[in-house]
Amino acid sequence: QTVLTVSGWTPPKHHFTQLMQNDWAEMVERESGGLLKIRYLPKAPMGAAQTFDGVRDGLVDISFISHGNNAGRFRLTKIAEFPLLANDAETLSVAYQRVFERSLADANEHDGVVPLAMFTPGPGHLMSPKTAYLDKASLQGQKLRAPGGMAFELATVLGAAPVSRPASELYELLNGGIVDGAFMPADVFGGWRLEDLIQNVVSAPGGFYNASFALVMNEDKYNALTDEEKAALAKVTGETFSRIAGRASDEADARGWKIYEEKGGEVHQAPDAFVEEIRASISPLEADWAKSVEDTKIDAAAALADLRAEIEKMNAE
Amino acid sequence: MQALEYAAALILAGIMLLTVVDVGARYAFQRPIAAGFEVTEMAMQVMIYLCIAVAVASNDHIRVTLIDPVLKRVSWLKRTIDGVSGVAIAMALAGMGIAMIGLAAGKSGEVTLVLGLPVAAVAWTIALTLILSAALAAYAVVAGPTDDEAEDD
Amino acid sequence: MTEFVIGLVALVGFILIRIPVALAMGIIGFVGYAHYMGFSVSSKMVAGSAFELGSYMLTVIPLFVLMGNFVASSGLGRDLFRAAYAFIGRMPGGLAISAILASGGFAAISGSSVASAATMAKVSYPPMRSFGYSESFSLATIAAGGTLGILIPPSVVLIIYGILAEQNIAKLFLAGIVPGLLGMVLYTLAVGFVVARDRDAGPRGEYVPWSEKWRALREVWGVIALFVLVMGGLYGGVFTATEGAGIGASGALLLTWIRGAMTLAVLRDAFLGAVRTTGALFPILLGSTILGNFIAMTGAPETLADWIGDIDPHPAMLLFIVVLLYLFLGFFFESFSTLFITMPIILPLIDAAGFDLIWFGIIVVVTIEIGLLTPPFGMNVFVLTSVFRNIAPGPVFRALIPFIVADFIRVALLALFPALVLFLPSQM
Ligand code: NA
Ligand code: NA
Repeated sequence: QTVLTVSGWTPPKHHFTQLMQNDWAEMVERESGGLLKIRYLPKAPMGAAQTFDGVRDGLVDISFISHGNNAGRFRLTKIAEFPLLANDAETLSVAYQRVFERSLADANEHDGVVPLAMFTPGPGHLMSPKTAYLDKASLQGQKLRAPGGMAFELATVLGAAPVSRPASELYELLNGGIVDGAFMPADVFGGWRLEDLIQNVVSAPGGFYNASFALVMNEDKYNALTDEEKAALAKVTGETFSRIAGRASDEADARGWKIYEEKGGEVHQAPDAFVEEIRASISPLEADWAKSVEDTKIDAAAALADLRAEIEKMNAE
Repeated sequence: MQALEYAAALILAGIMLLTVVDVGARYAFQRPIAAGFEVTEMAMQVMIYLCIAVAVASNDHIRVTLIDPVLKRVSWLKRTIDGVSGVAIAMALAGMGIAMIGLAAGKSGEVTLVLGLPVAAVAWTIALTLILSAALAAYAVVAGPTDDEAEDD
Repeated sequence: MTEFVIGLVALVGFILIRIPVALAMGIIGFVGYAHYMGFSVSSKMVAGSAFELGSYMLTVIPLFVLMGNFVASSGLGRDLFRAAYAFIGRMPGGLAISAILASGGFAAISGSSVASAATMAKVSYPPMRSFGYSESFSLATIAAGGTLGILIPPSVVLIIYGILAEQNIAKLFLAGIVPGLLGMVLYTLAVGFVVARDRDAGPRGEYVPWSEKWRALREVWGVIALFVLVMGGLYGGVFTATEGAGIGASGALLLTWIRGAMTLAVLRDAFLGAVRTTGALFPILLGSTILGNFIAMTGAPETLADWIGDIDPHPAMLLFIVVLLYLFLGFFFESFSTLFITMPIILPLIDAAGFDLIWFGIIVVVTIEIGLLTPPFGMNVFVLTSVFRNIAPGPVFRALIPFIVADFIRVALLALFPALVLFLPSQM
């Protein structure tokens, strides 16, 4: 039996922590017939931004990373962060994993580790205590807290003033009007008591933005597995993992929505005109991105089109 | 040594002023400093290692002094423990400095979210400060106890 | 588990023979981690921890220390003590009670226990000694009063807890107020107890005429102004708790200037003092991170969690076990290390048992405070013995016993009556 050491950097109650510590750990043991066992460390030996390095250096065997925490090192992975992609995390995660295998893996951006699966949390929404932002004009000069690179860029192109601050300050930022609103997924409700403050959520079809995550494994540890163990691991990684991780995020979002609705908050669908404004704003972002990754020899624009097509196909099923 | 102290103090003053300006700007002009968070964090990362270098150079370590009354009577033992700890501190700092160079090398290409500043620059600065601290710690061992400590004996 | 015990014993041994605490933690953590992962991986773990040491959130530590330094050099600490002394110095034990009240007042404008204890030591120790209070009783009073600094807002430790437990920091600050005041009352009773047993332990101070009393009281306006600036800005939504440290430090600088106490030397000493305190404190944070990574590898935390899971205690019993655990850890670690090491294991258990996490945070902080006063690692006592060299910590620890008993009573009261903690934040 091989014991795989796993850690995570999300807070103890976060659904990704629960996933890695319980649900996926049990799945690994069950599907491998006891060949593989997960040991989830009670304290991660490194923080979020150091996790990629930590897995590469062997501090733990397996962990997950958010590519946005190492901006500049991962560029192709931005593909899953664009606005208006998918309404739920399961669809986007699975489609992303498929496109990653088809076109992005060759670029070897995860050099030094084995990328076991790509996934994303639920779509990001535009949340605010006072104003419901239903068009681009209403966003001009508004201070928005943006969690990552894509949300930041989107806020900028929409004419808002983005602010980069840690999630732990969200309550204070919103409470005092230090920021006017924030880009967040629905799973935040319940965690920081934000449901006490947020009165308006604007949802765009496919989300305002998303974030790219990967489950990664130490290369030496992977190579040291027997063929049988590798086969067992394959059963619980790749698309399988993307699906359960996505589903866990969707369930966390559903819990968040329930808490939010019980508090009496309003949910607005972005009007068609606003969606068109977003679409117009992001096409230069897409072009810039495709140009910035030309050196990888990957046809980024085609991969993004492929991702959209994959999502559409899955939605139709 | 004085230069380190003043550099750290200046960075601390900078962090303080940046907070004031940030709060003031968004209050008065509705314009927050988008990169305030990442600049503060980078400044902080560098500042604490300057502070540590200062503490190391002046042999300023938090110790538990419960058995000092006993040790005062066995002064060779106290000198030995302090000497060994001093050497261990110098070695630990040097080792951390070398490990930090490795970390810095791996950070090439990584940039901050808003300004796109190179993250490796911070790691390199920390590495250099750690190696300087190791030298200062080694010097503190060679130079023996400072006047302050000598008074205790 | 064996490794955990060996590590803990080695740590206590190293610390006791006056090896610097950060070095002891770091070496044991590094070697212990290497025992599982090899030296190469262990050195990478240390480098990663070192790189992550300076985070945005932790800027509150040097900034609150800086604020404390300005407050001290502007004479605010002295004024607080004088005002308290003017009113109650005449009572038996009056100077000790004044020291506690002044510490409580100082806690309202200082975010760290160490800064509180160090400042109040300079202010209240000399008068206590001159009226015939013993060294050990004086320092014990100041060390105990210093712990109020991390409970009465603002507080660095509450900020760290809030981040780890994902709790709102502004609510945590409000939750700390009543328990902090309760601490002042109970410490006052502890002084009363000591003086009742031995009249000579707490001689009366001089009579202060009423005109003098009112003048002394007016002098504390600066403290009130600074408290209103930091807390008002925080609750008025002008800035966050982290920014509050920067605003508070600038406010204290400004106040020093307004009071005419600002010279180039004061400015330099305040900044360089903050640099030195930061240089002494952060190695301990790094050491405890490294040590925590080793402890996570030993399996001791899971063993503990499994054990608690097996006996499946009644929530009240669980709380009792957890408080005992924090008391035990408080003997060996300072507050930050304790929080960083335990939160990942304890929080899920407490949350599952249905306890309120704001209330639990206050219970934890009060319990951890006790650790600041107990040997072998009583942080506040060592801060004081480093301010006044040539004073042995042993007698101070003995003189602290009544205050520690007062703290036990406080934990029990807060556990039995959660409303003491939760009433204020529920109004927000
Ligand atoms: Na305080
Ligand atoms: Na202790």
